[in-house]
This record gives sequence, structure tokens and C-alpha cells, in this order.
Amino acid sequence: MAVDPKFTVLLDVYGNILTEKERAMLDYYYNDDLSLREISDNENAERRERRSAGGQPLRENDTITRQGVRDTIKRAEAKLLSMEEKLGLVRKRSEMLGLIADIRKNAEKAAVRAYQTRAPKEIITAASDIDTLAEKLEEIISG
Amino acid sequence: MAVKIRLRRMGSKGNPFYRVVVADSRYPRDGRFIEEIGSYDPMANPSAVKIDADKAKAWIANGAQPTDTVKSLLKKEGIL
Repeated sequence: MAVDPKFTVLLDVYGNILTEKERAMLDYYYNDDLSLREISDNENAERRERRSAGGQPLRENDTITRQGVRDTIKRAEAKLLSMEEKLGLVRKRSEMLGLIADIRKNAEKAAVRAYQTRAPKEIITAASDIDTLAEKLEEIISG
Repeated sequence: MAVKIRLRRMGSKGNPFYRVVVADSRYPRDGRFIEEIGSYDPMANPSAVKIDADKAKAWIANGAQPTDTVKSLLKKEGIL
């Protein structure tokens, strides 16, 4: 099972709708490139520690298997996909960034052309203002 | 010491970018790594992979284990 970068972005955008556990596992899986085995080993070590810190006896059945981690990840991925299907924030974001890049390219072209043709100063200023505004928009959207 | 070749996420929110690093498998999350041997930008179109082939081969010959994702990148680059 190799990492699909699509989910990395979905996790960034919709991570808050997942449970803490799901979010943590996807974070290990997609951002740290841990294997399912490593994630289940870490989780089991953590549970053991928590139990011994709380003075509770170790329980054999309070462990998660590699398969359990896989199921949790698959379930969380399905949640992220259904969120994107309903809201489309990732798609919209990338479309907006593409359009802003076009706006900036055109504003720059207009500014240069206005300067070369000795157009009135307001036109040059207006063109460079458009570029500045588009840049701010870009910053807001890419957060 | 078991050594792994894995990706490590860099980059900002919504804009992932990975380093390909060689790291001790016992401490997968603490950020330490032995050597950086490349980078992977999945957001570029097509995605941009840069891996030092000689270093990757040398590490694998010395027993370093690439993760599934790194393995597929190495194959894509014709290193494996």
C-alpha cells in the first residue's frame, strides 16, 4: 500500500472532521510514511504505557493489529473523500489558484506594456495594483 | 540498527513536499535522520522526483529498507 498524495491534501483541509485517532493514524501514514505495522506497534506501545501509568493490569485484547490500523485508515479516507465530494474545497482551491496565477500574469503583462508604450501613469499603477491584490488573494487561499 | 529509507513531509498546509531520508527505524517520528538523499514534490505536474541514485543504491546494498512509497518512487526513477 503506497502513499497517495491526494489524501495528504485532503487531510490538511478536512482533518478536523475525523476522530483524534483517525487523524493521528492518517498523519503517521501520509506525513511520516510509517508502515501499518509501525503504526500498530507504536499504538500498542502507547496503550501499554498508559495502562502501566494508570496502575492497570495489561490486557491481551487491548491491542490493535496491522489490519485494524488498515481498517481505521480506510474508513478515515472514505470520510475525507465524501467530504470533498460534498464541499469540493480542494478542487475549488486549486482552480482558484490557477485563475489567480493567470490574473497575475496578465496584470504583469499589462504593466510592462503600459510602461513600454508610455501609457498614463494611472494605468501602470492600476495594473501593478491588480497584481498586488491578486497576490494577497493567493496568500489567503493557500493559507 | 535497522535503517529505513522513508519520506518525510515538509511544505505548508495543503501544499505537501517530501524529503527522501535515510533514518533509524526505531525513531520514526523524532525528526532525526542520517542522510537526505532526495526530494519528492507530488504537487508538481507531473510530480517531481529527485533521488541520488548512487546513494540510494549504496544504502540499499547496506541493508536499508525503503518504504512501499519510496520503493515505488525508486522504481519510477529506474533506480530499482
